Amino acid sequence: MNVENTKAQMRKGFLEMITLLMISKEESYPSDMIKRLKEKELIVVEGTMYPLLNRLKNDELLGYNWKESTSGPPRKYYFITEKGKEFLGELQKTWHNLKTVVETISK
Amino acid sequence: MKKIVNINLGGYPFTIDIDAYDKMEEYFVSLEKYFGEYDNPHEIIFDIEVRMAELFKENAGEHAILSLSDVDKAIKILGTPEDFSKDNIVDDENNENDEKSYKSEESNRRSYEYRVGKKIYRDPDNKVIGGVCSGLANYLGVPDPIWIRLLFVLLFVSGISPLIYIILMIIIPKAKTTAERKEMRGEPIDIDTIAQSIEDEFNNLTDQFKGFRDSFKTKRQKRRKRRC
Repeated sequence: MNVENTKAQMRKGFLEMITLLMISKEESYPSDMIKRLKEKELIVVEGTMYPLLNRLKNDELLGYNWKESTSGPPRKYYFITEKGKEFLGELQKTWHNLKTVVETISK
Repeated sequence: MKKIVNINLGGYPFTIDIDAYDKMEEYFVSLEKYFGEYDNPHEIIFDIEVRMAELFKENAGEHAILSLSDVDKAIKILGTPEDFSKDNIVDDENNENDEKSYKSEESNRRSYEYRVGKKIYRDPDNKVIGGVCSGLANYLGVPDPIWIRLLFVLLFVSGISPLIYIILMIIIPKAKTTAERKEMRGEPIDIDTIAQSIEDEFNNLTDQFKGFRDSFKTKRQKRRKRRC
């Protein structure tokens, strides 16, 4: 049993929810999201974010717009779709459930 | 003294040492292999390219020439395919059991890396219509695509619908990347063979340019002679 592996598994499911949650608050540029996630130690290497965003986009939970940037080529800003909001709602329900279970048991 | 290369990375221009460039190319080839079976591998890789360019901008400033250590630093931040499979975040479907699936993914990936088998692609460098015939010739090991083309023409003349060509054109993917072109010819994909093909391409261009220049010169000489 490797604790790093278990931690990675926990982060994995959580990361999907937190990504959707961040994007649901405002349209987001991946590099900004990466900065926040790294501060909170939710991702180790940045490259993991791009396939995740791509998958969420392919599953139509997210979409993106190109926006002009002052310092370089246009940037992709992700937004959440209706389907994404529903999906996020379900994840959050499960999350609250898990949280209460952990809290009551550790008391 | 080192050679330098000018590149366009995710829409930003950079000047980079040749050894650093080789390292970067190797990295992107490894990503291409790793993400090869995803839905939009090129989109993912382009996003990573853009991110790498941003990291260079943040760390190196505008005018510096990028060195090997800059590239190493960026790769460390972005992560290699090994990091991705360790992180387990990237692999979506089959990881019910952590240890076991991690190992099998590792070995799958390894067998993919060393597989030199041919794949069928349309050949965009050697095409008349869609590159189907030259792709087939590459795949079947026919030395010249003209025989396959002839076969197709004979098929059409003998009454078989040209629709078959269009269907083949739709179902066979075009070889877009250098790695795919290598796969199409059944050559091993590694950094040296890719460097070789880039060099060939470049020599080809210089030859074309020379030819163009020579024909221009002779035209001018002829004109001068006429005037005399």
